[in-house]
Amino acid sequence: MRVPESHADIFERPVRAVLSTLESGGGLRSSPCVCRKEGDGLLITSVDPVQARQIRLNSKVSILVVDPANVDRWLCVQGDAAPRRGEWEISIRHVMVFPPTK
Amino acid sequence: MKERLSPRVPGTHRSLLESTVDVVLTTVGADGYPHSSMVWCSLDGEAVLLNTGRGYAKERNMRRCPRVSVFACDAGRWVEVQGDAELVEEGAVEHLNQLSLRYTGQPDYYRDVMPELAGRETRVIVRVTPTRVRCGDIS
Repeated sequence: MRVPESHADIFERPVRAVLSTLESGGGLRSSPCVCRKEGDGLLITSVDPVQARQIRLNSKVSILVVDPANVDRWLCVQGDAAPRRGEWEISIRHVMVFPPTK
Repeated sequence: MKERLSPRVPGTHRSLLESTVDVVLTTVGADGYPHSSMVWCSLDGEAVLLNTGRGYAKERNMRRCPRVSVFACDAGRWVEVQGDAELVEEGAVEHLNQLSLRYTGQPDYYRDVMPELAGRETRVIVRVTPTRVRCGDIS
């Protein structure tokens, strides 16, 4: 699974995003982050320390990315996060895009 | 990234949830993965009100697991409201039209914004009662 061509241009440079992680008690936590595309995956370059601990317990995350040039164009990436050289690599499991592609 | 915790949305960040900024609603999917999407929102006292349609993924997720996160930001600030969602049908179309007026300037959502959905949806208000509010500045 990869970012669809229809929305790949959003990742031409590092972009602000919202990272959501799961708390051990079943709640959710969302924080601002910066992400970029590398190969078929995404890299999160900044994660708040609480979310980093949560990811180590449960790797399931979502990342919401809005086109900086058009707020009506966005995508949600669901995947599993793993540490990699000070960043967090996301193995993409599912991508939802808006507006939907035909 | 400095962060502050609060039981309610602080005055410094309240306007983020009263503006025309789309917010990120995150729910928990049946597969256990967070599911995030952009929605409109308003405030009712301390509660955050969102609006969606029956049968959409986020609505099904909240019906199964009401724990949600609502996140909003602009160029300089961000706020996250964690809480429990209650789904209410009564008054949902009126609420949708209030949101439509604020976000698009159009007072009738199904006539002016999304006529192709008219008569094809059952709307629900998502009332989020905060359990924790986090906020900060974006540097």
